[in-house]
Amino acid sequence: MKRKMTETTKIFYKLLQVMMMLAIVAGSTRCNLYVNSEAPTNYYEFTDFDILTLGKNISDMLMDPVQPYLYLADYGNNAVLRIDISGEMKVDRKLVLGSHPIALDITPSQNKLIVALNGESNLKVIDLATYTVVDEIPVSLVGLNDLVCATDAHLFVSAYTEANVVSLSLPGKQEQNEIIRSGELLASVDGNKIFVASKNIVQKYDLSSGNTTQEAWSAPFGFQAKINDFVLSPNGEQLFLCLADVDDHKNVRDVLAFSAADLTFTGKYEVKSAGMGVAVSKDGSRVFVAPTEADGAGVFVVEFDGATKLEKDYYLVAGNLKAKGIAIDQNDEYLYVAIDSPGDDDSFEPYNNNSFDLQRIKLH
Amino acid sequence: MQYNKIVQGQLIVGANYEYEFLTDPIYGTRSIPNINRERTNNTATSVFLNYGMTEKFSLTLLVPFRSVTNEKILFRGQNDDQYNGGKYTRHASGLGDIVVMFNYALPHLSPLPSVLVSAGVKLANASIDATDKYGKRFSDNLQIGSGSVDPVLALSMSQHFHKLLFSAEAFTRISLRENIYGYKYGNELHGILSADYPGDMFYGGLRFNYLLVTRDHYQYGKITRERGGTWFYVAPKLGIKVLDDLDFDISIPMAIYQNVNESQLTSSYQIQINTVYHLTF
Repeated sequence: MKRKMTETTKIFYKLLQVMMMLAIVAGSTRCNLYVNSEAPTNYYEFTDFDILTLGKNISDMLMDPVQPYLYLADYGNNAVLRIDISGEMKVDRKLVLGSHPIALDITPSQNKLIVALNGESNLKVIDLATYTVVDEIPVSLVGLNDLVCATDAHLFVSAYTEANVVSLSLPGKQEQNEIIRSGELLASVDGNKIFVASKNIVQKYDLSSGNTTQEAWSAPFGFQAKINDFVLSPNGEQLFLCLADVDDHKNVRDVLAFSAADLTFTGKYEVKSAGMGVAVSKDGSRVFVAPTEADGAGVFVVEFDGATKLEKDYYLVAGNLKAKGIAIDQNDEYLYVAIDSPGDDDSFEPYNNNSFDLQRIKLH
Repeated sequence: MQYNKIVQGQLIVGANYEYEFLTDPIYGTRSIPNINRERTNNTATSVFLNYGMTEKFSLTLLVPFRSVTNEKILFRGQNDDQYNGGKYTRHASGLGDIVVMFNYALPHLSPLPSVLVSAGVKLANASIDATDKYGKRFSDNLQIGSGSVDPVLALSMSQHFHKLLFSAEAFTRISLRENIYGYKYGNELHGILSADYPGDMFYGGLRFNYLLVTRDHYQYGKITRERGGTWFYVAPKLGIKVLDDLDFDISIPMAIYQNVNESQLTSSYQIQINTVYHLTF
């Protein structure tokens, strides 16, 4: 079937070959049918995760205000971990304290870490300079839940099993029953006010007269809530409340904010599920909310503008988040979140279904 | 192996099996963590029929049977039907979209390469309605069909050089319209360069495959995230002539460059097994 080519046929074939090559090249570059330049809006950056593997049940997390350390209450192992965050994250020290540490607070003078134990009626006092236990404070309550240091010598402690909190005066360790309802506790920057988020209301108490009195302000929220986190902004102006409805997970979709001055309702930060925790920058301009639920693309810590209360940025995290499991460093450069990565549950390991690691996120 | 040559009255019957296990997420060209531990098994078993109607024209029919299984670990709240998360599987299988093509062989004028021009359609016969175990239809990119009839075009040429057969092919599928759910797949362009050694008993070769896929669109025009990109593969091939008219070969396309839109699961290799039987009437 082969036949002698004419000059015209040769030219035709040469042209055809050139066109084929051009078609391939054009297709791979800028031919209209194969343009691949349109892009959706990218709301988040996909970077590698910076994770310190711990596998611990972290019940509370607190940043040292001065030193480059993060303190983690390791509920399952009866310990408080000191994480060195100055370079690559590492467990710097571990103190085994007693049964189930559940809440942490640092004294206003910033030199003592107070630890509430849920599994025994004691508080432990850690000296932050030496990271050693320097005192133990017995409490009459059972099932401790939270504590707050109003001053270096005046602590308030709440328990799941009691209706009201007790206060402790140091160094004598005198205990006094208070009129303050049990719940998650906060103290104002000057130490003269106590804020309590209990199951259905936020209340404020005055300590300035020497006797505790309830202020007229209160903020009810109308249902029996589980308090995931209760945070005072570093400037002392805003209270952030993370509520959850254990009977209906769709009921709560926001983190609520109140004025610390008069408990007026000042903002709603919508993350489409109950908030797990909140971290706030020093000047209050950046509010970071850890949600309970994942988005279709993953779990994100959502940053809000403190002034407009609008979503501003998204930070992808490597797993489910935890109540009270978020902290911001002293320079507002990094967030730290407790994460439960998928895939490490439901194994044959005993008691491992509450296994959290620590993720560090560089803020944009 | 040499599809550019059409023999009148010859029926080529082929079967092809392709396997791909996607488990490595990348963002652009950068490897990223697989946060949901997601993985996708893609297999396609295809029956290939080519009949030479004349010495110039042939008709090709490609009938694929596809299976797609995607598994991942959900986070809490990521799926309303499985609120607390855990393993979530989506699976679709069955007859894929059939491709029908007419091929025209340009007169072979030695020493120039033989050239084959092909045009046809990819039908929309395959199901696009697969659902998860909760009865909800899942995303289009895991369905075995596209839901739209699209034109396919190909141009290929081959040339013997000493004992080697060199081939070049360009193949494209162009999406014309959205399916019933408003989803429109991106266009595909394949560029293939290959060199084969046609031995008496064994044969082998090396193929370079360039693939460009443009973005998909959903809801009649919205840009879909995480679809489309550019891939380069190199695929060594080893074959055996089982009978005079029966070939059997295996090739392993290995990804040497992948640049995807946003983040996508990728695999570092595929497995392709082919068998071809030539039957002359």
